[in-house]
Amino acid sequence: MIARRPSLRSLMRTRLLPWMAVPLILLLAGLCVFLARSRLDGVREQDSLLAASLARYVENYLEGATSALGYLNRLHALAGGRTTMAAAVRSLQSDLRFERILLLDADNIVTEAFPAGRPGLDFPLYFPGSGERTNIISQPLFSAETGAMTIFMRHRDESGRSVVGELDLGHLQKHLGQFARPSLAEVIILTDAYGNVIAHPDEELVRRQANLGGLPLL
Amino acid sequence: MGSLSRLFPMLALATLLLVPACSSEPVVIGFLGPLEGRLSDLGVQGRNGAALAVEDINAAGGVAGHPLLLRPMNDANDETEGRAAVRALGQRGAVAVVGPMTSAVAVAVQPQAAALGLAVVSPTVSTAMLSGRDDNFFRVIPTGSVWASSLGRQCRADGLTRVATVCDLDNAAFALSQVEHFMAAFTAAGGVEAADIRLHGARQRSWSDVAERLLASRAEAVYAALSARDLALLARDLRLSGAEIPIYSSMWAFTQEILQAGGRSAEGIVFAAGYDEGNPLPAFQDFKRRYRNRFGHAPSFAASYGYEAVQVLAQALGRTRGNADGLVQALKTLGPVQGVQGPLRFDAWGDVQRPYYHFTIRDQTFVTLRELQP
Repeated sequence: MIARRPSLRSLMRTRLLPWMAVPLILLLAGLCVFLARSRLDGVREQDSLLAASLARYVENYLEGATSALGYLNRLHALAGGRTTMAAAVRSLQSDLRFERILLLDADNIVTEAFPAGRPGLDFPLYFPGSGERTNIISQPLFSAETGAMTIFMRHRDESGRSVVGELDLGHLQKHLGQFARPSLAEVIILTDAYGNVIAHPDEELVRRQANLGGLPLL
Repeated sequence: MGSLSRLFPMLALATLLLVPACSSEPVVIGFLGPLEGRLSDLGVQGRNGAALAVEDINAAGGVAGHPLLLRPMNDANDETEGRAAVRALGQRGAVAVVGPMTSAVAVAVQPQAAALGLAVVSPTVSTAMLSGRDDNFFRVIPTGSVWASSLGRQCRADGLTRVATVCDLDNAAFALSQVEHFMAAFTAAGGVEAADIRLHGARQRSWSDVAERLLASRAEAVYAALSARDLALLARDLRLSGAEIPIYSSMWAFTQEILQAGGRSAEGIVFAAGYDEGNPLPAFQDFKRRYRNRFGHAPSFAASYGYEAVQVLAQALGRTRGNADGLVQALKTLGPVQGVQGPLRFDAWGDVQRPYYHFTIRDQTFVTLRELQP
């Protein structure tokens, strides 16, 4: 009895198709991965450009704030009068960058506070490792005065006299939020060097002093 | 049919090649503490210490092959919020809770956690109200009444005869017991109570009236069972009034916040604490260095004990293969565990015995005055 030779159609169905299917699927999958990675690389590049621009913007924002404190410090050294200082501080506060501004003598005692506080005590904030640097930014901390998270900035002159500003983080967050495109679900997060959240669209994370330092991204 | 039956295994193989291997299910641990507002120094430091321990354990392979996942919840130092947070943790699959950080919340949530079958390991709750009970509550900090008594005796030994106390009823389970033990030891040694001020820290808008009452009582010293921020504000108002009145404090205020918020007004405050800030153990020094590098500031007792609470829990979870079932029993029979502050071991009631210390603040730094044995 002669065995019937399988037809071409049958061979295609039973042998060729299954063995072609796997490489085809792998090829398609590889193509998808390649396209996805290309797109991801594009997004990453765009993200890193945006992050670099934002970092520069934040730097400028903080530099502007410390320059303003430095200006107040020089004015304080020259004029010193409460009225002059109050006018200068009011002008500075009009851009909503600071919640509070304090003038300290060389012994770190508060001589004036805007809004009015109770002078005569030392400014307690400890700037770890600040040494003799002129401009210092504190880590994010809870402000007993405002009941919110804040950052303090200090400008100190050669005589040791300082001006300290309590930043309004809500204002900073609002500024940063303008760079995010909600249509692309973009989120802009600002942390310090250790991943402690300074600004985040989810304000709860700022209030809870969340730390994102464990994320691979950081 | 035959061709399809051969096609399916090949497709399955291809799928396996393409889909990355799924990692094993994480073991969820809840964290409970005040993460916002005036008491956040305890909660945030405790959470950070616990997070660092979780990272270390996961880097070493996790627990029985499962990574740990920490779910922090804010209890706002409120009993109702605390109970709601425990309920939410139970619903989200937590097998245990690290926390709470304050005694008032611990007393409130312990029965609910027990009903949900959750073991509770607190880093900082030292109230005697949870001592000597065969339950699901464990802690890595020793019971605090002995510290307060030692400070009462020390205050008298420092030559003081009239002392006023200030007690925050927002954490009454801790603060009341501290004040009572302090005053009992002080009066037993011949001292006199000048005033007994009880208040709610959360409602206190100004501390100047408290300072005035203290001065009006002609107290020679103050013993405070207040949080760090509240004690800092009171100390500043006392200094502002020109009074050089010595301040003794419970461990509650023994965090970096007292230095940050109190400044020079906090210099000289004497604390009693079941924690060794100057512990020379290499494990503790290494922990301090790594914590600072990770979070940018020094760890307090809350961070150190938060780390230890996760260490202990992970060891017990290793015995139960990451399951909640049998976890309480595993904790009870755990044996000695090497914590960052030194070895610790739970007694039959889930409590620990550790030495305690008197500290003061000099040049914005905590300085050990003496070590005492329980």
